[in-house]
Amino acid sequence: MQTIKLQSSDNEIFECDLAVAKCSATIRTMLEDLGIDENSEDEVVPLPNVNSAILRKVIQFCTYHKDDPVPSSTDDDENKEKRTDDITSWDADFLKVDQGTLFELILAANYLDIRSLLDVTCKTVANMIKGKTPDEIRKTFNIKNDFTPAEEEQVRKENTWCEEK
Amino acid sequence: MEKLPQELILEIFEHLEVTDLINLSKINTRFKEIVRSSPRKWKFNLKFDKKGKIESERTQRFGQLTVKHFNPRSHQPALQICGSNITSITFTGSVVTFPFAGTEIKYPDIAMILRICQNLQHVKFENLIVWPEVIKHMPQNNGIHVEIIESSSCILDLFLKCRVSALWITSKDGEYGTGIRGFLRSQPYLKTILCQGQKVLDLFYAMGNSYGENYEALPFQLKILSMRDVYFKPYYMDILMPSASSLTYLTIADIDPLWQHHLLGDFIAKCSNLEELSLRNFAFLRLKPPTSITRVTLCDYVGPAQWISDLTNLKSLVVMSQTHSVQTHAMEFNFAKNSALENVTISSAVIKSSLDMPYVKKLKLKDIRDIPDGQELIRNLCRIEEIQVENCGNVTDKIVKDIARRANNVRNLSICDGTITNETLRYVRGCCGNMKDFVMRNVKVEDELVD
Repeated sequence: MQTIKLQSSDNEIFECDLAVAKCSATIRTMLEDLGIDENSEDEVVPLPNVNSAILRKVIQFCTYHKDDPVPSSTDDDENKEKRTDDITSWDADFLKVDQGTLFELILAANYLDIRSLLDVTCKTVANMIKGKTPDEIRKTFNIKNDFTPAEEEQVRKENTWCEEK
Repeated sequence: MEKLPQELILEIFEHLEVTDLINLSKINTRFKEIVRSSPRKWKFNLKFDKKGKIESERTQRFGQLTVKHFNPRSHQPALQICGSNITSITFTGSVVTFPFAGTEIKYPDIAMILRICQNLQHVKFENLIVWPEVIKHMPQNNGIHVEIIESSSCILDLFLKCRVSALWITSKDGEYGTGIRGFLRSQPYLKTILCQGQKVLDLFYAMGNSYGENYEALPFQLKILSMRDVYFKPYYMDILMPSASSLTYLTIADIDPLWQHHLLGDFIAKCSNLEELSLRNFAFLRLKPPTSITRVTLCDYVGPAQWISDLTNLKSLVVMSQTHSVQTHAMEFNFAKNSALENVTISSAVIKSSLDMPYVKKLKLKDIRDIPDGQELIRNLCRIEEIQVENCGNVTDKIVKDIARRANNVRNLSICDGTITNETLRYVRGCCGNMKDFVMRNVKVEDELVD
């Protein structure tokens, strides 16, 4: 099994399967750009935007999903309805983490360009938003309401069009 | 979540419904701005490549285009290329003016598409809520067929300078504003209108009033009319009568009370070119139907229907029940005079009269729940060629036995999802000497029936 070393922002080194690392388009590009191949055993790929705790989770995700078929981009994918009820039980368990970790995973998935991880993390957050009132969303994510009463009234007016069919 | 950059918040938004996005826009200034700055991506049914060209293998499919979410910047180049080949467009959803009507208007995008698609023959708007003030563009197109399904009627203003050849409007409870009147007046070539829903009829009536109650001066004629859940008011006759002879298809459903029957009956009697009549949860006690009718569908029709005998050109009849309760059809299945009647389907019924259909060639009996004891199912099916018996449970046995006794010249018999006895099976094989094709699917054969 060919392996590769990944270095987190807090300088922890992770040795992982090359196929697992290549789930990340960013790492694939780095390997090509840096001329690192399977024979470059001592080379380390630095990932300055991902800390060790998150990188560990990312590697866990990619290890589980490394054999997943690559989604076709030529078919009707773009025309498919966006669904959030299709998260597998493994992914759902994997994402039973605190909000901070969940958002860190979104950032890491985006930085490392791992589409499947980005999708499933965004869906998880979307599910936390769906069907909630503005107040409930604020409470869920601890977001402060900075609208003045006048602004709030303005927002209400702006949305009248969609509330009164 | 506030720590995420805007692009990733938008990524999350992609998975949300419009109502959720609107709620997000209400939580604070930043989210309002993010929601506002980014209308969701619009999607075509057609697949475009990265350079905005339609993939070659899809060129055969140019005739259909569905726009759910449209991104003008990314899709306009592709539209420019294929626009003249597009003949049909459907706009679906409620995001046309999303996120904020009046502040970020996407409606001109629709006009832009329509302008590019110069050979458009059919355009459909479904569940689109649009505010009148956002409509600014009016493309020209002659002979276009427009459908407005549960959407704002002010969309019609887009077509003020077009020659609309057919207009279908469906509204369960939507309000149709005054705009439609002006539109209809601008359409001297409009001959076909499908209208469905109380509001539409009310509107037509109001429109008629604006012509000084000269309904014959209305600029359109109804060809297809679907009246569902309409409180039928006597003065609707003033609107409908001028169109009676042009009507080819009529559905009447869920209309009450009984005293309205004679009004509708008078109207139907005047529909001299009516081809198809569909009645759901609505029964005529007496009717003088035009003989032009070739197809009749009766759903949850309770009561006699002797008037069917007068339909000398009737070719196809469907009698069915969609309610869960057992629907007892007091209907007499006596069609001895209907010499053109070839196809009959009876579904979800309790058959209380014998089938007297000497001209019928194809009969389908589906979900028959009961044939009362002592009731003979078949009186005359002398020209029958094909019978399908589907999902009739234990009643299957009685039906099949009667077929063997009284319709044994049948050539094709198909039985699905039911139970028959060995005795009946032997009887069928012994009696139906002309049978070419005998199919049984998922049929239990028992020594005797067990309830």
